[in-house]
Amino acid sequence: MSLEKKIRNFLQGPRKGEAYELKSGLVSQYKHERKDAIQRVIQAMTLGKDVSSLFPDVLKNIATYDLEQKKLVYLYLMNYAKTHPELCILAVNTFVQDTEDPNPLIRALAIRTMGCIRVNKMVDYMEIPLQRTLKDENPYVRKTAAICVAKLFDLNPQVCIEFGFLDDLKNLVNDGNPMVISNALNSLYEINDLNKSKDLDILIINYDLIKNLLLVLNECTEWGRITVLKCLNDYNCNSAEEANLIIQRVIPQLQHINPAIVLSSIKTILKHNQLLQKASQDANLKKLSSPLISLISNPIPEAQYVGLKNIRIILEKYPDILSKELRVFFIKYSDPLYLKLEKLDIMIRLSNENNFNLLLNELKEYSMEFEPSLIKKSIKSIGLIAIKLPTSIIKCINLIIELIDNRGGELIINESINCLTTILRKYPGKNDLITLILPIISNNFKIDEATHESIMSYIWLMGEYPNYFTGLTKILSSLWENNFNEFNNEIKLIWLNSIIKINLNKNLNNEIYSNLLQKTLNEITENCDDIDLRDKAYIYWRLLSVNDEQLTDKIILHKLPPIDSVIKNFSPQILNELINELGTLSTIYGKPSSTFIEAPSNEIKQVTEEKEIKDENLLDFDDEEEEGGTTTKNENILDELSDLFTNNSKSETDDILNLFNEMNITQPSQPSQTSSQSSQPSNSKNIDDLLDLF
Amino acid sequence: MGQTFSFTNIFGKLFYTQKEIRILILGLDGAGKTTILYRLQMGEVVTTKPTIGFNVETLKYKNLTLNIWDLGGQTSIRPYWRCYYSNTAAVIFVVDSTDKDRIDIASKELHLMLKEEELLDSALLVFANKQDQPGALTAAEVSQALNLTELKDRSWSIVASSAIKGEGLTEGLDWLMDVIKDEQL
Repeated sequence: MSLEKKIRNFLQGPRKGEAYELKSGLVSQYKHERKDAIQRVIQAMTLGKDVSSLFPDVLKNIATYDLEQKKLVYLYLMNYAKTHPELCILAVNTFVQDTEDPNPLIRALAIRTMGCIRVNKMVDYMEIPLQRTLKDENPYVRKTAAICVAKLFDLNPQVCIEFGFLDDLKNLVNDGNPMVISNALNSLYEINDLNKSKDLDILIINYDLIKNLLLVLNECTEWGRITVLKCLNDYNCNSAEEANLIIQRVIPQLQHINPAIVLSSIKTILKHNQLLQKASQDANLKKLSSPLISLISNPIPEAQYVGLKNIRIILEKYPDILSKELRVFFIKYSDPLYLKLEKLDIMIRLSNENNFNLLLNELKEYSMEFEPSLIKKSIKSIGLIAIKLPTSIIKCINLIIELIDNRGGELIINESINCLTTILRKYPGKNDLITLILPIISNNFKIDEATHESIMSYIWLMGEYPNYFTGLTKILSSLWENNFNEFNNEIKLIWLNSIIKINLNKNLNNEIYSNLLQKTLNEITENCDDIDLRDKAYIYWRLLSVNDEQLTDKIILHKLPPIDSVIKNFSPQILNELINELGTLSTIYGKPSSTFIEAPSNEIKQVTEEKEIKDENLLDFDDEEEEGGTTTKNENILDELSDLFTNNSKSETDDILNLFNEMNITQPSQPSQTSSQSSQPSNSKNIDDLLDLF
Repeated sequence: MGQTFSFTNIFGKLFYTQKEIRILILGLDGAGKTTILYRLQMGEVVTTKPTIGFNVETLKYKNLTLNIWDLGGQTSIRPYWRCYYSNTAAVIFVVDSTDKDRIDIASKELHLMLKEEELLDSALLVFANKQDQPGALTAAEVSQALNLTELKDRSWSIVASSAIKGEGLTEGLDWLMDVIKDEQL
């Protein structure tokens, strides 16, 4: 060292700071110091400190025979590659050498890390190592390389296809090793989701592949099984024998401890079951009940919840599958609230003539619990049972009365009023029911404690069954005097309907009613800011001034058909989609995946066996013209077109509506409740809508 | 933790770990750097591909542990040489003696590199490589082309070599060891 520099160093004094310390450690002349420093860098990294400035110095330590150190440096590299994309190429040489290492662990580690470095410059250098590892003799290396292909595809699809990695990957699906097969499949699925070009065949599922998958299913790891099951599920069987073979092979998987595998197996069985004869279908369905129950015996509540969500969907499609298992779904004291609510939902679906007594007893218990939402839902459930099972009505109503008497409280009373009103909507005009129900409601209704819903129910009942109320004039006047101004538009709408119905009722002739009607019409037409409501008041007013009794009766006193069921159901189309997506997030959201993620542009294509005989180029070419391919494509296009169309028309009308109803507060979707409650014929509603437009 | 660290450090320095001496092998692409490295380490000629990045090998030579870094010489990688300069005892600069067209570029790169502060104290050994090939410049001619005589305040030497035949390498390294021993110990 020159004297000058020595002096300068001396004057500067030793530099301090963690970064400097680490840096000097990384370039130390002693092996153990370097390793120490790397460990400390990784430590800082995992703590969330930004050590990206050390990138070049850490990178220098990549070439080492110490496996531990290599892993650490690789880890660092994966984490910070993006901060120094241009420096990454300095590691290429080591990667390439490591993919030739005699130790398969190092080979796999190298190719995995290389794939994880999401830097474009890296792509150019991946050709040789990836090609080598895809054909490696060790299955662990092959499967790591298979996953790497998907990563490369994400980074640069062209390179991935040009270098033939995609074809190599397709070949790996026929590998001898289950781990490689399942990972190659997984990788192909990933690529399929990433793929944007329409004319690229990625995953072709044929019966040969399926046979092979069935053989390896039992030897796969848990993740592998899920992928294989997914592929089995995507296959459309050509015959009942194929379907039967798949089902028989998948059934043992139902015993697996992993709920995801159980769910995937159930999904696969349900799909292929449809091709079988009725008798064997039922036999197979029976086998599903205990696996389904195993889903909710999981000790983790979150996993139970997922299980319940899936069971709910399966139950909708196959209502009898768990008919004897009601007890399993009884709520446990320690369950979290979300589980309790979900279990209630399922219990209602399972209720039948044989078990409703048991269930009602349970519901009584739940209504005594302390969580408001559970109490609400329990009472609602009592109503749902009454509607579902006519034989249980009296029991249900008695139970509600008992609850009101024993427990009381505004929560229970309000919910009970709603519940009883819905029961009346199912059985309109039944004298014994009305005489049983209405006194309870009128005795317990307190306007000060009522919720919006219960006020609406109450007013609706008054309009529907005015004769059963004692002191109706008093009640109405008091509501008008004290509360009308606080009502929201929904309640005002029901009030309007009810007051008109009362006026048209021949048995009630009282000046107070006509006064109230006049006041209501004045008030709404003059002071109401809601255009729908105001227009409706105008229409009624005009209708009444026409003085055609038959017409007014026909329009206003029209009886609504009784409701069928209030249990929420999916539309058949959505239900089928959901059944096909069991075990995915769709079941938790309760909507098909296409509604919340972008649908993959390419459907998984399926090729029948004849096609396979042709050589590969021909196959690619033919695929376009083969009926299977074209029809699905056409359908897709048609779907898209119709989507476009409906979307457009919808949004256009929406826009128009918005233009005209600038002050529209009640949304078009919301009045479903109000319109059904206000016994009003559908055609007048149409007039309403039309009038809204002009 | 700091205590145990320093303890092992001292322990290591005193007893069992030997200090490694860092040597860089630099030069334009295709000069024969990787071949020289593996010739020195394994004593045999390996087939090489252009080095994208670097190779590093540790080798014992005359009781010294040498940590020899062979950096890729392609234009795109040359800017990153500087990442490796710190703590470097010596630079071995390899020149393709048959590549007369690019010897100017080699000279430019060499002088650019030697200006770096971190390399002020490093020794320089130039290999005029590929002497086995016909039409190769002699060591003196290379020395002139590289303007080596201009170098002041630095111990430098130029040796004619052939990595394929293994000629000149040990002579060069011997000279380097002598210089380094003075500096390091």
